[in-house]
Amino acid sequence: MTDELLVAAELVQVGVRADPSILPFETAEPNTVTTWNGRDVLWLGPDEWLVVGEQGTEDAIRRELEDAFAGRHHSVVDVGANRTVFDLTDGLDLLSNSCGLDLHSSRWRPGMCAQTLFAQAQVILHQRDVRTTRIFVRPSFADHVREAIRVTEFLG
Amino acid sequence: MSRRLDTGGSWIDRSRPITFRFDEVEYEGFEGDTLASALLANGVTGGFRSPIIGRPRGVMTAGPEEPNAFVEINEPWFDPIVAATMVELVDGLVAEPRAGVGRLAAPAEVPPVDAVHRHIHVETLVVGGGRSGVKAAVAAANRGDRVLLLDERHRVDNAPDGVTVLPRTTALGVYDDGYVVALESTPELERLWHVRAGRVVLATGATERPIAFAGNDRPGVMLASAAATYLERFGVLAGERVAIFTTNDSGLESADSLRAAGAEIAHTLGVGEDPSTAIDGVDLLLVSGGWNPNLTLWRSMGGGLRYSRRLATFRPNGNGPPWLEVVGSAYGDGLPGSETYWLESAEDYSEHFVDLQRDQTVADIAAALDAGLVSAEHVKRATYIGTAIDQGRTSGVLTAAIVNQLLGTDPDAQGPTSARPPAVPVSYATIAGPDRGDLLDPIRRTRLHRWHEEHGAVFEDVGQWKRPRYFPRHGETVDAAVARECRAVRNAAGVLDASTLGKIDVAGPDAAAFLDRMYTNRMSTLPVGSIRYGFMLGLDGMVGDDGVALRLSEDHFLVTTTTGNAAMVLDRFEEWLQTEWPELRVYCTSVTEQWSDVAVAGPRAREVIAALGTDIDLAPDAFPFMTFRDGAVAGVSVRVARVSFTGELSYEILVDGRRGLELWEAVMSAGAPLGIASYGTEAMHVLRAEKGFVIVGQDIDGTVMPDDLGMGWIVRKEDSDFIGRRSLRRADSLREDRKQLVGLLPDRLLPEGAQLVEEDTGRIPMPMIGHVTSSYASPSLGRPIALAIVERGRSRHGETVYAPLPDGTISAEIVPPVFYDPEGARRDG
Repeated sequence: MTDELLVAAELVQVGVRADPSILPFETAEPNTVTTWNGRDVLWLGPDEWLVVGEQGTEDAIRRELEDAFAGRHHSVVDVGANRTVFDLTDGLDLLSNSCGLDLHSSRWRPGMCAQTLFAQAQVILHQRDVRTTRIFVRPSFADHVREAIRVTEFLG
Repeated sequence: MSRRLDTGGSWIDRSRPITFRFDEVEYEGFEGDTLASALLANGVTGGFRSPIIGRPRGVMTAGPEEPNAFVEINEPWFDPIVAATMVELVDGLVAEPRAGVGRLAAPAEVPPVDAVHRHIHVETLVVGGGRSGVKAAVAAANRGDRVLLLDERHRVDNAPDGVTVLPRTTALGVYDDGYVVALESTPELERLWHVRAGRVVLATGATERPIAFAGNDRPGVMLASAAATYLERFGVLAGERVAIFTTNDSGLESADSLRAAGAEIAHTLGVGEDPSTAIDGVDLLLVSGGWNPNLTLWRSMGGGLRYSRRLATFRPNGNGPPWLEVVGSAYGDGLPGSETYWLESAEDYSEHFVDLQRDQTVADIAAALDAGLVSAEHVKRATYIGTAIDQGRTSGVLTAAIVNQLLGTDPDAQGPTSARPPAVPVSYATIAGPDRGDLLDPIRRTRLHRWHEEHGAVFEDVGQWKRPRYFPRHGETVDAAVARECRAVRNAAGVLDASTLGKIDVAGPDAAAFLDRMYTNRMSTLPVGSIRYGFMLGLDGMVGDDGVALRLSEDHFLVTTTTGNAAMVLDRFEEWLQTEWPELRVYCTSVTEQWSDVAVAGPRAREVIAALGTDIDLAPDAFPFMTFRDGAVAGVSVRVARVSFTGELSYEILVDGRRGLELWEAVMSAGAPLGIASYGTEAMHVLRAEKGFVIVGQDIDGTVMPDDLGMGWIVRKEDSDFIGRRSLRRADSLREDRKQLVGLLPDRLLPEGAQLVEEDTGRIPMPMIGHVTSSYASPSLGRPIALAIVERGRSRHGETVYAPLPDGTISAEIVPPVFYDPEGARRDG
């Protein structure tokens, strides 16, 4: 069952730290996701974002960022291998067994993201649409998170 | 003898009879009964014993305040101890009386109940599903709030629409900012709810107060309201010839309801009358000493109390957290006024029970006061009143009142003692929930884990990580495997999965200045392309972590940390940047798992890398020690660092984690003709100890300064600040008799942790001068070696120390801590 619920996604991830005034993408409300030339930009902190793109877009993303920041204090770091990505279908109820965030549909809506804990492991959640929750987790914790989801689903 | 009436009982379904066993006797009840109501319906008025002195006891209440009727449930689930008033009757229930003390089941006896956790956020949480609770919930729902209503009973009457109602759920504790932990307990499942509420409404009701008189603990003595409850909800008339002893009108109303159902009220007694004479002539003595608002949760958050003369008890004074509110009878609203009367005067108070579950009487309180105690809190500790499973729900206010009365102080001088979470017992299994077994603490695995498993690795825990400790071949012992792995590194080549080392990307114009403040040595003078080993100190000047810094460009570094301290070091970086030095333009990013770290070491390491194929010039002059190169190895983009934790020629290959396994396998096959072996942390420990390299967390335990390690050179002398610098100049840091790192050559293998003495006098105690921090059988030297921390150790080289142990004393010669290749000749291969 867990394998049907969870689908791995191979994506480009680039970490961005900079003053919000010099960003090449639209700055969004805290804990929301904007799009930038077809990429997702996840708000992680007041000066921290995660740019997520399709495979093969890494060089373009890095170049566009470096061009935009040229000469100004910033950090652009390839974190494509630093987190594994799963898409979880219809999983908000399940996540609420081991995640303290308010994931009720009236508060947690598509287009939102958050850094939190699930089953004691650090994760980033991104609600892609009503049914799909994208989970970013450090690869070393990925087996743990899969197992926690399996157990949670089993216990209900 | 059945005490069940032919009609009545709003909670029971007479069309659904239920069979159950209590104390090895079979009985019948109805669906909707509690175990207590079914026992009373079957005429069981006693059936229980008191925990300490073994007096006969019976059901005294109809709710969670029950102090007597405790049972162990054996079927169809297991509960070591629970009040019979809170057990929902189910078919096939098997219960045994328990005198206040539970026992743990053998695991095989009963299948464990599943324990899960659940998080929920609401605008309004209502605790208590009585009239006031339901009213508050409806009002909140009408405002548009998400509302959760909890009730510890198995049924909530008039449950409103638009409100999530959880019966069988007890609020265990209320915490800051509306965080409430609640236990839902059903026969199938224990669920721990983590509720975050904007507003918490306590509609926890009130509990009738007993009165202290001689024999008030005997079977047949019952709170008056409990008897009325058994009649109204369960159609049970708890007694036919009844006496009532009351300080207030509600007691009379309860008696009236029993009279209307057919009971004879033989005596009506009030303040000043002696109920003990009435007990023998009746089968039920109803007691009502007034009503206490249930304020455990209110008080646990610091909610204030005031004394009400009308109620003769304490009620909330309104001073509490703004998000916490008390309503209904818990606030004191609607409770009947009571005469101020708690204690029937007597010469002998030894049978005037106060806390029935602790078998404590007024005489015990008096004894505590006679011993000089004057505070109800101290009386609680001297008598244990209020510390049993019921946490003093019936005894708390009574004890305070009696303390005030016996001390001759006003009734409001002292209130009840405080109760603490959990409000009802909760099992560790439930607190753990799904975090048990392999999920107890997350297990972290590197990208190469599956390869290690397939190649027989024996793992060890390093923090949350599983790291290969050694790779035994064909039934090798651990010693044989470690010796073989060490020999491979010293004589040919070995490869280690070093991916668990923490890695932090530090970028910005002030990155070098920032690292200068974090490390004892200068990072700002490091040339681009070079690597420097550094110590990070705590504010106390003690070594906190070590690692290397790679300078990627003028304003860009990659620093490594120990495996166990990776998160701590990043937190420390962020803490100083965000709170102390916000003017520094530096961004830190954890990249620990961006990179797999494949560390190839040994005299043939260069041949291994060359065999893989690389565009990096490996010549020692072109690629010297403590530098790094970016390039390709085996067709994969990598960063190769020439650092060494073994003393041998080493190349640590940092590779995109997604290609780590590919590179590792390429190293293994290219190295095979050269005699390469994968090695684990145990061989790594031996190899580094042979070189005198220390490990933070093993040789360095939080009491060790750089100079203690003979590494004073790593602390810069010029006058610029770094964390811990000031502490290095304290008198204690400059003491000449500090413990210092030494090597030991023992006559046999020392146990790590062994204490060292100057002279083995054979008489305990002997003054201890140090201890062994690392100890191994060294394959390279063919003898046991050890590292130790010893008082004035550096001035003792050549001396002998002793480790007196239960199986004999081991003597050891103190030597410098570098055992192998002290000239460093092997570093470049």
